[in-house]
Amino acid sequence: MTFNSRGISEYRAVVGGQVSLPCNTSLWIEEDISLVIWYRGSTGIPIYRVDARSSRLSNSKQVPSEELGERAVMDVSVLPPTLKLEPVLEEDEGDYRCRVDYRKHRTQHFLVHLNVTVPPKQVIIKDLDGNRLRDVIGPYDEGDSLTLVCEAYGGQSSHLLYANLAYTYGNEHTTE
Amino acid sequence: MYAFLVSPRRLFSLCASTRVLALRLTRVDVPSSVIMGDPVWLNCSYELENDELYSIKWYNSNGEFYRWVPKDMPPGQKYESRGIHLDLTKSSFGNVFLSMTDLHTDGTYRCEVSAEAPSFQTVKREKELRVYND
Repeated sequence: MTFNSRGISEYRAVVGGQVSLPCNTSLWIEEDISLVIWYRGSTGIPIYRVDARSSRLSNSKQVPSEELGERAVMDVSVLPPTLKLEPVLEEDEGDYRCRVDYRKHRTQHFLVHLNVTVPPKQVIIKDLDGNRLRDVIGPYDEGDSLTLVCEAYGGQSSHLLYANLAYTYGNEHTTE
Repeated sequence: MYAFLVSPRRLFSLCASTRVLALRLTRVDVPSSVIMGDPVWLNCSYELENDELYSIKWYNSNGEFYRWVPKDMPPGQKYESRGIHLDLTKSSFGNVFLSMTDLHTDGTYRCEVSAEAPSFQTVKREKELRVYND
């Protein structure tokens, strides 16, 4: 979680994964809550509602929008309460606003921004000549230099990079 | 020949089955400038086609200072806020009377209107109010 230039908490999730967006209002008094609404961006059409006007919040019916459906669930038993999205889709990227209506206290709002990482569809390892490398390569002499090129196809905001190298030296096999 | 009376309530539920939500703000009046000390009216008018009103709320940079919720008793409620001298007896719906103004009344004002369940569709608009020393 970081803060972006607009002072809004930023969260990141990977397509297919899950994320819990917090409704981290400065006030959370469950007994006095009459309504919780989640909005997307600056549109006024709620994506999630919990109407607690005639029941306790924890017993109130939670109603996601048709588009969100079963992908969204709000957990009001934790602090801060969260809206969990699973599975995350690419189009979930954007601003989210949580609004908490109280009977006797001021209405509270909390803004978050969700960034969605789309993993690459394919990853290929090549040498400097452009030859695709697979399985076991070599052998190389000790002291030789080796340059491997990793190409990723598809994906968005994919800045997670893992390099796993397994090598055999003499008779010893190592993975790092 | 049959004559039948359609009560307004029944007519509403007939409309509700094919509802088209069309909540919009028709006007949000905040005077752009006020002489310090003078009273001020804020007005927020809306149009709800096939839905009921849930709430009208006024905010400034310190947060919510007034709301009108038809289902509440009383419907109008105010919250203490620096620079806001709100006369609740003169205020109703989106019409708010600030009996006097000071330098802290200066700022950004926002009106937020929400329709009733199940949609709770919401519209809002912001306007600036400047308070000047005479």
